[in-house]
Amino acid sequence: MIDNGRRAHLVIEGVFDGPAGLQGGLLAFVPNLTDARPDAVHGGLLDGMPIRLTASKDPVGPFWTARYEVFR
Amino acid sequence: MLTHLIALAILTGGEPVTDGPFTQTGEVAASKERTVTMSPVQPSDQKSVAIPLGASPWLQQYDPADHTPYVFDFSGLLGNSEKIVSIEAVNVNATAALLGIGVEVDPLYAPLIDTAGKKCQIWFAVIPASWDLPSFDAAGVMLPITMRVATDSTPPKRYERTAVLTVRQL
Repeated sequence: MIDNGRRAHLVIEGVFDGPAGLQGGLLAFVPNLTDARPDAVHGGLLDGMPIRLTASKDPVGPFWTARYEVFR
Repeated sequence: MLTHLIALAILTGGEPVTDGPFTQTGEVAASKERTVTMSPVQPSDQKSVAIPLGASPWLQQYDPADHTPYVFDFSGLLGNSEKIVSIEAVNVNATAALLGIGVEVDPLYAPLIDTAGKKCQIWFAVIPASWDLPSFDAAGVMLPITMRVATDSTPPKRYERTAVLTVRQL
């Protein structure tokens, strides 16, 4: 199969609010808010669902990649 | 996901095809600069987060408005008479999903195994809305593209390798 991932609306308070890329349990985003460091916030909303995440910055470029778990 | 896949297929107007495995064979059209050879022993240099250590890059970089084939060459991993019989999976990563970069899902550009059974060809597509993103300026972005194939050996073997595509304005 071809898996091109998808986009979803991600909110990380003080860090990001907008579309993020998702694929294989990872999400990618470029921070667009400056109230908190992306690696200091470990919770957010993905398409309205609460998630726990741990973000790290790519060595090259503006992107942050995070592993995430959805709370149900 | 469906919206994204449909958006990719709009480029060529076909019905999206995402289910595999892909077993179609034919002549690959990619040049050697668009062919990446899989190393039997992979080195361990790191390129970026979420890119496997030592993943080989395609020499020819990709302009976001391009629509050209790229090839995985598995010949170094296969025995002399061993052939690839199916492409089980092709994945991009989350950054590619964010930027609207994906493997073409139009049947006309479906993943293809070359007639010798050693190489596999895929086409990439970037949604037009992303063509002018600042992320593609200067050095652009490096994206891991992962392919899993099965062979006709007895017992059957399976290989999954990742190659790195650099997408930037050319």
